[in-house]
Amino acid sequence: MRIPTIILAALAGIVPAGAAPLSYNRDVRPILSENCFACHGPDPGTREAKLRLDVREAALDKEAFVPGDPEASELVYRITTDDEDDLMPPPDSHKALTPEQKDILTRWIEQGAPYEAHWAYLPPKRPPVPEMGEAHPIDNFILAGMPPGNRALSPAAEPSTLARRLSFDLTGLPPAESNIGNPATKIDSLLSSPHFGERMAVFWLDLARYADTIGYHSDEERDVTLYRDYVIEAFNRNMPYDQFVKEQLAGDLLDDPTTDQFIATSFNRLNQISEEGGIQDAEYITKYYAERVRTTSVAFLGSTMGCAECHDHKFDPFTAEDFYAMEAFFADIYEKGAYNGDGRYNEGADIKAYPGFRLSQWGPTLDIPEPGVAEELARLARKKKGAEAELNRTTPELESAFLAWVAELKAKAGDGTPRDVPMLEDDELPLGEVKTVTENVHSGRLARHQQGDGVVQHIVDTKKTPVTVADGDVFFAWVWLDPADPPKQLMLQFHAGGKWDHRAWWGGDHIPFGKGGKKGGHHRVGDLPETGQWVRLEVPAAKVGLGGGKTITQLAYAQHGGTVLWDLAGRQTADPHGVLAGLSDPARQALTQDGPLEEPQKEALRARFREVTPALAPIRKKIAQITAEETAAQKRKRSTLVTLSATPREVRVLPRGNWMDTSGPVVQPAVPGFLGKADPASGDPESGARLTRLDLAEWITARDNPLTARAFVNRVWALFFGTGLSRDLQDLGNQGQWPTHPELLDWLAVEFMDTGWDVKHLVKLIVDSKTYQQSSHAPADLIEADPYNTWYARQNPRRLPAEFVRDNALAVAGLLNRTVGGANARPYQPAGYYRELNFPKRKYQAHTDDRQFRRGLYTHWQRSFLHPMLMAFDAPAREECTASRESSNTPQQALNLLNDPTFVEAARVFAARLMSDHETFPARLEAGFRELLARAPTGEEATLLTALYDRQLGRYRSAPGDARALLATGIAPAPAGLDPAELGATTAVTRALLNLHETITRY
Amino acid sequence: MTMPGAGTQNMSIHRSEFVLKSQSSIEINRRAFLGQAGIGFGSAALLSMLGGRALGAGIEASPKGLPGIPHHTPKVKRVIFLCMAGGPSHLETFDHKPKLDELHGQPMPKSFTAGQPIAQLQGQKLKVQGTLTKFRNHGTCGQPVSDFLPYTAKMIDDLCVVKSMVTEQINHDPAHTFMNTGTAISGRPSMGAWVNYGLGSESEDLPGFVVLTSVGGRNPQPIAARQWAAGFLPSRHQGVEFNSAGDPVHYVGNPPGVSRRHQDALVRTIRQLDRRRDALVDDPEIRTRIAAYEMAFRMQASVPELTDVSNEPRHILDMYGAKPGDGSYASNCLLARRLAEKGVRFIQLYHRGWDHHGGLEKYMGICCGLTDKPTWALLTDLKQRGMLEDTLLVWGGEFGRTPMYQGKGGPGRDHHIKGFSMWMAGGGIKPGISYGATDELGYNAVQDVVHVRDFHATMLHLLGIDHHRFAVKYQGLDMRLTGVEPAHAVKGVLA
Repeated sequence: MRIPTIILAALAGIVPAGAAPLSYNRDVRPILSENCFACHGPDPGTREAKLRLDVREAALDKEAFVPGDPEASELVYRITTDDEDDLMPPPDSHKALTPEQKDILTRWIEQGAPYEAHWAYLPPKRPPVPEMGEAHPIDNFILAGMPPGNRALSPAAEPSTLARRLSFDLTGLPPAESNIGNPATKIDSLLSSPHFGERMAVFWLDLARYADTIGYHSDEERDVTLYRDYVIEAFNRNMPYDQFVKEQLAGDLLDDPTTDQFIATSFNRLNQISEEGGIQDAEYITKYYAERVRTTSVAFLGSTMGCAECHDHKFDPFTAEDFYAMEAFFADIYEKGAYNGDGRYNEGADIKAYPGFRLSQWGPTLDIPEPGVAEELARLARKKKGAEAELNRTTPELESAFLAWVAELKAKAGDGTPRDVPMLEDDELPLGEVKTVTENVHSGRLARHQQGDGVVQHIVDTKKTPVTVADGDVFFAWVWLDPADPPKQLMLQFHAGGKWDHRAWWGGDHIPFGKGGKKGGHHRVGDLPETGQWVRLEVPAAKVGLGGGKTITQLAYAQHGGTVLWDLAGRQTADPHGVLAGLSDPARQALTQDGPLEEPQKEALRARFREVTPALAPIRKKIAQITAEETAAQKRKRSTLVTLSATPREVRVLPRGNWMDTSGPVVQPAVPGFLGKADPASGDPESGARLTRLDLAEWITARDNPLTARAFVNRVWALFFGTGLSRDLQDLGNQGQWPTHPELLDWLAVEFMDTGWDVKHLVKLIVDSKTYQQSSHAPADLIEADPYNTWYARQNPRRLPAEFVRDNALAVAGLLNRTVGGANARPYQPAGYYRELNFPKRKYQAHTDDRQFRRGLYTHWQRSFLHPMLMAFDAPAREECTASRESSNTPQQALNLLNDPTFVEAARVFAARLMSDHETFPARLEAGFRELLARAPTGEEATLLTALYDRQLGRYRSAPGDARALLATGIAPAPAGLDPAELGATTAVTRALLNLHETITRY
Repeated sequence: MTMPGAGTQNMSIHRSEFVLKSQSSIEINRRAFLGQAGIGFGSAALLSMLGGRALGAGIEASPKGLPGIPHHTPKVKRVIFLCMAGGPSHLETFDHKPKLDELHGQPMPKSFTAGQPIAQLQGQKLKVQGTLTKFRNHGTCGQPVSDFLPYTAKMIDDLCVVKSMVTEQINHDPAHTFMNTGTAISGRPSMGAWVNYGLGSESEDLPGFVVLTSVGGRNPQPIAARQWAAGFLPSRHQGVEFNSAGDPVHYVGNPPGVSRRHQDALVRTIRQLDRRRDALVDDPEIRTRIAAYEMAFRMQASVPELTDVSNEPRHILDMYGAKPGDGSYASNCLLARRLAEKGVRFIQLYHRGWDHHGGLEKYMGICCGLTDKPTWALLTDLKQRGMLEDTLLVWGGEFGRTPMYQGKGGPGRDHHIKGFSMWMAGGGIKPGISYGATDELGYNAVQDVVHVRDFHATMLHLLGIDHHRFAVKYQGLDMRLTGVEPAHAVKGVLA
């Protein structure tokens, strides 16, 4: 929506209407952009009559108007005619010019139809500060913008109001004390508070679309909390904004990047990703690239390039090629499109080439040990070394035990020649239902006769002859197939590790057991053997997934149909007693050879001896414990996704954004043409080197980039006034807003850059001004004259952002956990809220310790189902970059503050504290008001709340069970010694206070 | 400014800048504010900058929508959207293709599939899957309905089956987003939010957009709250999900140990305190807050009462097959009728079991078993109460299923976006017809193609809204539910 500011000004009596010199940017372009450019603008795809009005020469070429002569101008005829066929904009466009707009266009042509480049696309220059008699530049600019005769700011806010305003605006927390003292000192102390970074992070994380889950489909978790902490820390350390931008877009490409700079690059990986089955890798890569262009353009440039994905921008000079050339900057990001197993990383990408990184389920990942872990690991290593020395010491007693052990092993080991060891002896038969025969047996006295129509099997425990498989073992079983009734299939099944997961079979695939199983789970050996004779079935143990050392507990002999005699079964092994498994080669050799042992052989055997001898069990246990502690310490780490640079993917212009259409030209990384050119890092523009993300970041933060500083300064202004100097915080382009104070915006942008992109300086500058510190309460005539506060002749009262609504209640109650940074927090949440999630199903567990009371910005950010409290108070799901939040006022908010256990608990703890600290109800009430609202209650307020207190007290006295139920809300312990009825009634009062509009508003 | 696009005008109020060209336009804007100022408002900061005194009277408890809307006389007051999430097979419901049986097991002709988007069947041999059920013609209109849907067959004379739907997204998440918001980009307003934004709510004590999800069916695809989000519209227009367990709406129950009478005393005290504050600082935002607390307190009584269907007569419960409190689709259909009676503008039911890559016969049996009769009961019940004539009832998924075989545990079908079926019924809809057609294999919609945005345009048209003129400025663009590509209300389905 365009503001014909001139008319607003005229209304207010600044200049007489009609005489004002028109500004193309302020007055004309908005009208043309809104009404004409869609068909007569930058996009040739939709251009009508080959006429474009956004470029003066082109418009003159087509004789759209005659400068200085409205009468002779086609444009004037077209917008004023009664002929519907000729009228512009055409009626079917559903656009229409107002008489005032027609008048502006006419007068503009009369004045020679001068064009200006769009204000936001020209590098800002520092305008002179108007001399309005104020010390502070902002106040001078603001006063100069007011109509003459009305040039006054509102009086300064009450000290207590200002204390509360500054505290919320700079830290998101209520003031520690309502006495402001010296505002300048207060501002410095708030700016150096670690909570300043948290406050700024709430703003930045919306732009960075930071969340704790992947977003699409299953919306699984992925840990990027280190990035959130990086943002907090960056603002706390007052990192220059240009550096902040570079590290996030291209920290990995800086010289010798620090760990923090790698963490910063999580930014590029915060986009939504998908693991949905059946998605196309290339399609999702397209989605990710497009999202990054949208985010980069809005977050850093305050420009909306999104629509150029499908066509040239209709209002700004962004072309579709610009869009894809911007995508190409991100084509080197080591990632895949489909995280479901089908996706492929960039060609040739190999994580081994990036030491210190690993590929997690969601791509390149950096692990950071928690503080103290390195020291802990060093300590454990020292401890382990000592314990190992103890293990390795030699004593005469141990040596003789060793020699006896070797002799015993040698006796058991045999000579290393494989031989058959039966697993089932005749004397174990009969077994259950198994039929035995004595005729036609292969060995011993008995054979098992098994016959059936379908699957039939018998299962044998191997308990009597426990079987530990040795390397190289081969299983065998003798069978005789009845020529008159042959089976369709034979199968041997081995039970190991608690599972029937090791099967060998012969013949057709009829038996359902293990079908489709993993390697070794369902191994076909070959065809059925000859019938009418005893045949030895054989299968190497390794083929059914049983390596050396595995223990078999059961064996099943299965067949499909037919009649089969089963006889001797077992394994062919060189190590019938299983003493060789797990031994090193020299040790194995030593045991199977004749003659004396040589020293290296002895040493190898000693190593094994130390592992098994009961004499050393206590020290082994100690070492195992240290190892477990080491493993646990190594797990005490945090991880984050990072950007690594790999082979760039090919990026083409996709006609109408269609990822399957590869007819468009291949593009190289480039910045939007009309905004200039980015130089390659080599410094030689002619080198032809491919531009990188770092080049993009350098261009974004270059002194002459017209958008970056303006976009940031405008948004920071909005943090402290509720509205930007250009009111659309998303878009500074043609469809954005002509600033209410263009000179001030430019002055601040230049000041920001000149001070080295100093964020705290910018903030301090703003909050130091009288404009910021003035009262938000205005007399009716001022509101009447300037209803939308475009003059800034008063402050704007604002509802607190979602996170701070929570923080305020917890802080005043004394419950707030003020830890800065760290893992996510899980506050109370309605049961079953995640029931619509799947793959996997989710169950939310609220934290039951101090993490319950962490600040709102640490709340687990589930994109598909944002915490209901955050959602009710307009926090975005952060699926996409968000530059401004709504500030709604809804029944859901009321229900939340009334009934959410977080607020009920805060109320009861607040009440308990008031009771402990103060003797009487009036004193408690007074203290409650001061702590929450930084003021005393009025007489009327005290009367109302006392009445509420008395009623509730009576009720809880007569129903003490209800009081106890109320006071059991939440996990915070209730202090002993307080009367439950009194506490219940006081809680009703604190609930009322926490629900006041004033409580959640910063004035 | 003369503004036929009232949506744009209103947007200017809550999102960005203000057009003030004369004293009278200030008054117009103020009236717009009043309309908006009921129980919620897009920008508290801006609202509170509007002088309080001029706004002192006339705060309404219920938002009344945008000035200038409806653009024309509406045919319906409300929409009930029955979303069969996962994508039911058009080839086993309404779109009978005998040719599939003829070609069953043969390779799918390449002329259909070459260069087409494919989901889970990527890289696999594509072969034709014959129809997995029988079709019969039903009703006086004689339209084919599959044997999976005997109750739907009974009401076929009331339905307009659109057999030529097409969409643009082939995977569940973005396809739902596309169906609900008209774009695959996350975070844009859903159709329920759009409709409430334009028309306002008719209910004094219920949200204008209610979402009901149902238990039962095949291992369901996940679904995200973005499907009913308000996007860049004021957040009070977002869908409110009703829960079958716990509080029916989040935080609608009092805290433990607090009775309704005492909650009443508390809320009254809060309102009185807020009023006193308002008298001091004269802030319209406080008056909105007071109205919000009034409505919240009413909701605390009305929502549990509304969601408790146990007081419905036995024959009604039996007609739906509803068991109070079971969270089933049947109970939700009954609840949908009750919500409709209370003036809820947009009701969306999700049944999430329709993703039949394999075992299609079995799972169609289960899903239709859970939904067919309740859907019939809902239509019949609305009809017998005279409400069908001002309700638009819609049935469909986010896409259809391939004519090609997929076999994840028995024959099934993959996702398909080039042709599928939905039905509409109710006010302004031509009953007993089918509209559009797919080709002989049910692959491409070939006749009277209805794009999702055409469906949106049609729905808005029935509600009295011209989709061209229903835009909101966001990120420098005129955003519409129907997007920027051409879209049209489908005349052929209109009575």
